[in-house]
Amino acid sequence: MSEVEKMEVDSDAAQGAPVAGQAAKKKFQIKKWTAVAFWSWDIAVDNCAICRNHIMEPCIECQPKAMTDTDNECVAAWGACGHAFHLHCINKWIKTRDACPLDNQPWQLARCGR
Amino acid sequence: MALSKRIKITVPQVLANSNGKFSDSWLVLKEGLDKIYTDCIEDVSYQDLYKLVYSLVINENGELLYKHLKEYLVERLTSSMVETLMPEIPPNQEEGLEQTWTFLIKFDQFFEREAKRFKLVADVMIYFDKVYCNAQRIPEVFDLGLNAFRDTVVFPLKDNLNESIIKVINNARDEGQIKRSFVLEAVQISVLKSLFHMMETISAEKNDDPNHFYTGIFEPLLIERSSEYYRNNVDWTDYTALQTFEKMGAMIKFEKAFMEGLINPDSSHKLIDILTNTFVSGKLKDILGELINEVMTSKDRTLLQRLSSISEDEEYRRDLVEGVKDYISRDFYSIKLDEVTRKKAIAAAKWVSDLVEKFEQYSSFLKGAAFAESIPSNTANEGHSSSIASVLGDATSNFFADDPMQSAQFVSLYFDVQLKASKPSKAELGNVVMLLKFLSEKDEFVNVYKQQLSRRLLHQRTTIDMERYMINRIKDEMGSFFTLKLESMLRDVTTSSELLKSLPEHEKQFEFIPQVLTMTAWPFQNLNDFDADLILPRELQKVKENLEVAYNKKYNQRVLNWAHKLGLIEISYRFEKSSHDLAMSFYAGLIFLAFEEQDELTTEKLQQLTNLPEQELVKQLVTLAVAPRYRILLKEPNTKTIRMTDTFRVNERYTAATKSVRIQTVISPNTISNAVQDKNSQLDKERTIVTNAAIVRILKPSRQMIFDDLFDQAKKLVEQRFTLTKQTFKRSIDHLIDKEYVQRDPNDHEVYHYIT
Repeated sequence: MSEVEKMEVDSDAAQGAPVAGQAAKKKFQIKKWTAVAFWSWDIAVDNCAICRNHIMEPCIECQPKAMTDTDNECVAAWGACGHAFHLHCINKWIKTRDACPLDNQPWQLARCGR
Repeated sequence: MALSKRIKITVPQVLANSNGKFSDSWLVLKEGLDKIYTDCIEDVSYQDLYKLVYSLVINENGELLYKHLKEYLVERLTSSMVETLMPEIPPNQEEGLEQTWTFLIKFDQFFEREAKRFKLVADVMIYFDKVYCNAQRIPEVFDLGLNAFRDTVVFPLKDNLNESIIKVINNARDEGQIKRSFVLEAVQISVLKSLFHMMETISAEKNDDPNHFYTGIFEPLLIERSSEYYRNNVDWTDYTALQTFEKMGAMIKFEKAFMEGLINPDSSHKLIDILTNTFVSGKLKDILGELINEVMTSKDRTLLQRLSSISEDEEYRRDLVEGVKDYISRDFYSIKLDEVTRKKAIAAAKWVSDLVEKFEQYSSFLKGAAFAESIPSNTANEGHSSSIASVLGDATSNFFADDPMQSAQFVSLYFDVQLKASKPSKAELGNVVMLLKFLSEKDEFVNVYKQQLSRRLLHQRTTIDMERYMINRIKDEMGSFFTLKLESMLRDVTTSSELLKSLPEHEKQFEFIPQVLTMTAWPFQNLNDFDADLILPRELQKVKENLEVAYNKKYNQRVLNWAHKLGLIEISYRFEKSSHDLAMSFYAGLIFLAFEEQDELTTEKLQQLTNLPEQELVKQLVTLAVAPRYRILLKEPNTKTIRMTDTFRVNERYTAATKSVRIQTVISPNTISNAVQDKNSQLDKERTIVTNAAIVRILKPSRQMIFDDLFDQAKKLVEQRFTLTKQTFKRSIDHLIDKEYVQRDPNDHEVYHYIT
């Protein structure tokens, strides 16, 4: 825990913390919190039916460069029918056939997720 | 003979005796020949004899003349042999060397003289050669003479001649071994050479046999007897392995020089080959192991090179290569694993670094030895440059294969220990990365590595730069299939720290490190559902909400699910004697922070304050209050079990040697075994998926296949990732049958069909 030295937490902040009327104690001081969370789309998704990669991950085309090129984001796309694909994948698909690969309805982009 | 052919043939002006009888003419001719045989060449009238022969041929007496001539030559040879050669034949081979030499010299002289006579006769008969012999396709006169010589002299004396030559050669070898120099005089050598020349002049069998006597008869005998000599006449007792090898080298060198001065290159090559093979399949085979030990212990490159260059025999070279591999594997086995220490990771890392040290040593040793050339082409099918790697690689693979899972885990542990160290060395890490390709269960390695990487990243025990370097190296070595998830993990951490920058500065009352992760990339399962319902202290709650707002601003269609199970918190507390920074799990932190507002709390109250489920609460309280290592909290009553009515307060008298204390949640043993089981079943699941894909990939184009073939091909397809077992394979087949991808043949259960 070598981080301790460099972590000069100013005492003002600690005092400012709500201690519920027992400011005299001040024995407790939170120094660091590593909080872990997982993100997910607000609609449940599975693998992209086109490239078979999970929709939470970049599409198969973006995968190799995902490590170096973080700016270029590979987003998910929902159709009006409720099916989700990578935007890259479905864009390529509708060039040949303008219908949802899963239900054959005319493709209509409902929204893109970042 | 060649000279005589160039003489221009002129037709005699006067045809004497043109109508005479053959017998008369033959008598005249014979008289002339007699003169040749009695060495009165100056009395021979070349022109007369030439005319005579000419007229005989013209009058179609060629056949008769040939017959008579042959008889005449045989007769002459026989009497000459009886006169000059017979007395010199050594009665048996035990006779003295001198007598053998005398015989050989006489034999040589005898041939020289007879050959000269044949030539003279042939000169006289030149018209006969041209017009009769060539037309009839029978040997010319000179060859007739040689054939007569062969049949009359050489064949009957064959054994005496051969044995005598071999005797003097073997004797020279004996002497050579003692004196280490050549013992034959120039004259003797020239006699032998001339005899060999004779052997090369006459044919071995009948007249049209393409082999001459030397290759057809003498050479095989010489080879046989030489190898016999080298097998039986060399005394290896009292020699160490190394001395034996030295002596073999000296003998080969001697033999080479000796034979090259004596016989034709072709034949001396054969002989040297035989000689080395005698060694290689005999004595050298016995001492090879010892010699390899010598090479490897004293790192003697020259000796290794000599060992490999002594013979090109495939079996020998394979033995040599296998021997070296074996030695290396054995040496690897000598690496000790400290099984006593409690620090298993350190012991494993030490084991790996010892291994890589040895690996490097052998690698540079073998590279410098140009050992590659000695590997038979079938082992080094990727060309010579890769063969050093293949010797060492095979040895390493074999060694790893002994306990494939442990090897994979240890290598990963090594990286873990190194990367957590204050200054990891890229060079050292890179060296160990080189070992990865020899692991047979690469997926296990990646799984363990993923686990350890996740912990390193979440606990900030490493630097992103180092991790990125490592992942790139692993990718280079094993392919991007293995590193996709790792890269994705790293990306999550990087984007999370970007996210942190977007939080307003003034709200950072403490160091807040949010990690927003992609579910599919990280090796975490079974997250706790109750995390969402936990009651957080206000300051934490606020930070958390800030982050959620910032996140939603950036990614509007995403939801964050907190995984406090993986969270970590560091709290500073002023105890009576000293202040300490306590790092603990987030759950333990919640419990500890509850005492900020009240000095004493019951289990029940704690549950209300934190909303932790009882099981988790008890586990954390055991860690904080019962486990002898920390005792941050005091429990009343002081018993080992936790009841809902127990009361807790902060142990103000707690003290520790270091300012920072890391409180690790106490895990009960059966949780560990559960975790191991989980991990194993996870690995099995992954393997089944890969195997399914492999089977479909194989079966789809070929439609149907026998069980064993299918298994072999599938095994090959997945060997870059793990070693396929029959068990996994069968499970996979069953699964595919269930899903109706594959069908067993109703008549033959060994055959599987792909269902379209």
